[in-house]
Amino acid sequence: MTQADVNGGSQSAAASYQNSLETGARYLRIDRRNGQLTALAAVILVPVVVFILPDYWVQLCITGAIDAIVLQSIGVLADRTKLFVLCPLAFASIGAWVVLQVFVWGWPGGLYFWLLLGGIAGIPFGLIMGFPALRLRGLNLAVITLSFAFALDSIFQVTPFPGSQNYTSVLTRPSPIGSDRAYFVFCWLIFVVFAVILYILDRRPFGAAWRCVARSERATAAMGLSVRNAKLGVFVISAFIAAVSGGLIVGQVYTAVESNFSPVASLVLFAVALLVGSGLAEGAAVGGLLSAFAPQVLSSIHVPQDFGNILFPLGTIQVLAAGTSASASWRASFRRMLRRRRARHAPAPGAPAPGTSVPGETTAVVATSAATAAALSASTTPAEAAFHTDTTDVRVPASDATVVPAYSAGPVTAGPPALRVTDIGVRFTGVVALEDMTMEVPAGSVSGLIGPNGAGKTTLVDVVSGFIRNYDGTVEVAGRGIDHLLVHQRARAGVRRTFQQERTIPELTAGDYVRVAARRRISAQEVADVLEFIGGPSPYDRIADIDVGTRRLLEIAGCIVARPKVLLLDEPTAGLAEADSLAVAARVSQVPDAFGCAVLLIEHDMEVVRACCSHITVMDFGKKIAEGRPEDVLKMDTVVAAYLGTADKASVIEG
Amino acid sequence: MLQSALVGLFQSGGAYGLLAVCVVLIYRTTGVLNFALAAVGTTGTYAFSSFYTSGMNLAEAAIFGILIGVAASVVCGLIYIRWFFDATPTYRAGVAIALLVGTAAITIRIFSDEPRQIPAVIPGSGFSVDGVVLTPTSIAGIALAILFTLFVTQMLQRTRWGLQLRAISQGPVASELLGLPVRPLTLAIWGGSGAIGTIAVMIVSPGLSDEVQSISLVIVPALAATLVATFRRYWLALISALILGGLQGLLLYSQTLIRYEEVIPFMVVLGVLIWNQRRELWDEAR
Repeated sequence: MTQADVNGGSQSAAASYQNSLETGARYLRIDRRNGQLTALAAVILVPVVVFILPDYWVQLCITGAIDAIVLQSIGVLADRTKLFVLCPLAFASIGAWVVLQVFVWGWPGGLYFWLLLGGIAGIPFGLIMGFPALRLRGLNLAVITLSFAFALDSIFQVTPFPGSQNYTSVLTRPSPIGSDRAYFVFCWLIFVVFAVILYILDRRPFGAAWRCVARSERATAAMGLSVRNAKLGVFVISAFIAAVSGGLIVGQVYTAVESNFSPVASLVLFAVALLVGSGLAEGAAVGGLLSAFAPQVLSSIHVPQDFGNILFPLGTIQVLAAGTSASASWRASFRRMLRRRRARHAPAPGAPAPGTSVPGETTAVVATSAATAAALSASTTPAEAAFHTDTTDVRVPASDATVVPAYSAGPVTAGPPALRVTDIGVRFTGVVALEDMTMEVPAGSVSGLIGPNGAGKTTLVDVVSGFIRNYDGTVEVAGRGIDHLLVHQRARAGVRRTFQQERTIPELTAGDYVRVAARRRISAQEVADVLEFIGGPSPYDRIADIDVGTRRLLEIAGCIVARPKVLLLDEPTAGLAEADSLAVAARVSQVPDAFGCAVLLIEHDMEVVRACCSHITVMDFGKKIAEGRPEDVLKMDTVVAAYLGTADKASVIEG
Repeated sequence: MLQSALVGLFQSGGAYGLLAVCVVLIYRTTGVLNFALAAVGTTGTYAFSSFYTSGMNLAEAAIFGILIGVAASVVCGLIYIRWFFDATPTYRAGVAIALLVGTAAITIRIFSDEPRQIPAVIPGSGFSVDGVVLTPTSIAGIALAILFTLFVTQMLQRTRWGLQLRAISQGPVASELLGLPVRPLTLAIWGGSGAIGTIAVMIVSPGLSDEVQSISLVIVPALAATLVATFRRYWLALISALILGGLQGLLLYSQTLIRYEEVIPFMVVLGVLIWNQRRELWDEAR
């Protein structure tokens, strides 16, 4: 393959990528418009329908709207952060108590203001629940929240709600929402407002961080996002929403009794939330409808009302077995329907070229990676395998086919080293994992860190990125000591890393992932540029639809877009096919030039190491055993022996 | 004051202990935090009560009640084996919550939620030691809890089945590939836990309110005890459960405070979790 072929291929790939961007942006606009129009129609139509229903059904609709709000509060936690909180109605009971208490005290402001107070009163309790979830999750949280619901229920059993015993004065609703129909519209609007707020938050780094936490707390912290703030934030919002719903119950029935908020009622709603997928607004709305109307529907077909509590759990089990909630599968069907319509109506000319992507469709690794991989393959044959003694430089030239973004920072080669670790020591209960480890990663370079399994390479990365706090020695980034910083603070100070298993977030699009990882405002062009740099997906592709090799590159894109001082890549090519590995290598070797950050590459694939690194350090048993230029170091007897025991060198070379 | 604690310990500590140790056993062998254990026990106990009131003698009614509990628990186990063999613990807990709600609803549907007096499974008026009234049922509860814990720990440590169960707890799929009878053994654990759950609820229910849902929630203090035991340690789960019973009993000392006895599990869980915050735990390995 000639250089001209490569350049020609890269130009065509770049044009194709640009084409995919335009198509993706157009389809995204259409999809968003369709979604928003559907939602708007529902927002308007629902109250219209309710206005023509008989009075009794209107009461049920109010119950349904309030249940939908409770389901939203469950969905915030269960769907977004995968945290099971089993006390939504306990939060609601706090809101109800506050509304009744301020009414009894005769506070001004009316129900509107009291609802807000009730919601705010739920927040400290959300924080109490959230605090144990900061570092513990899953089952611990389920147990503490159920215990909380159980405890609060017992308190309200013996301490009635204010004003619920002597009906000397009865809470009244303000006149604009005095009638049941008006009150339904009020509840419905509150539901819609919460849905819109959650929709907006989902698209901001604050809300996207919740999904990061669900996927991997380590990766969240490594992206510079505070796991603590993300978790406490979601608890605050969930508790606030649930507590407001409690106030709305008081507004509906003018009082409150303990049985409205029993732990078992919380569990029933939790089962409904899992069934419908209440993280999505339509799921919560349908769930509210189900829980309010199911008993009536059942009795109308002569089935006892309590069958609902048997049917909901059965549905939940079915949904959990299927692995997708009702609302998620509706949305997927909606997307498929749009795609089918698009396919029918799409004009043949100007349609996206093969290999380019359309939102919601599976994407292949894009051509630019393949072109660069081909360029690499042209200079490196499979025979030139690990520990090759040939001194030919196989590093990728900067003029290769890769796109260098227009905003490129250019290489930073002056100044202190991007990373310096000095005399690092780590011990795990008697085992020495690292001992007197000292090394530097010069600014603007790609350095390699190699060694056999168990040598301590990832431990060193954990030390630098802050996941291991108890270590001796010092870590400096661009001349600044960072030993006192926590993981997310180190990320913000210029240390970004990837993990051996990719930890992107399947629910996000590639573009959203890059925006979250950047931790700063970046333009759509910058997002597109960095994705093009990795030869990867369109910003509109859902990560769930992207192959693993491209996800690895996407993780790297997320790191470099934040412009760190040093990027730590922990075996970025593990498990990839050779062509994909070389594509990753090509990108990595150009990161310093394109983004101005140094790279420390941990890698077992010597071909990748030779292709990328100007300098390597070799570790064994937690110590540095060699360092220098790859072509020199890989020939050293100590290095060969570390990898392959004491086998004689000749056989290694021949092998 | 000490007498109050002893009353509480005997009244509910044994039942909490049985449930807690059983929850740890199921969790360690099948990966399910069984929120539905007491609900299944309630089904068995209501069956026992119905059999007894329909004229069966106490022992027969108890045995048939326990068998109903076993059957209900095996059905739960079959659901897990059929659909959730490889699911994550959080998913399995979600299923257990659905099973709690569903089992309680089915129990109400079959036996109705009419107030009923659950008979003491071991009759007798009991005796008083230094002002503390001990009923035969409460003494049997404590004894059974200790024996059950001893049985579980010894069985796991010293028998071939125990070895197989320990292997299953580390990796059901890998164990199945080794040729271990994972599914039958898992079902046996589910069946056994149904029996223990029923016995525990039979012991504790005469002192509780008589609603199915309230009795099903007797799992909450037991879960609190298992959490103290980090879902792993059998004896610690038992001791924590006994202490929880004792702490609740302490509140008997005051007419006002006793009404808030159900706050105790939450306070204990909160305290333990805050204590555990000292350790920095990340979600997964590298």
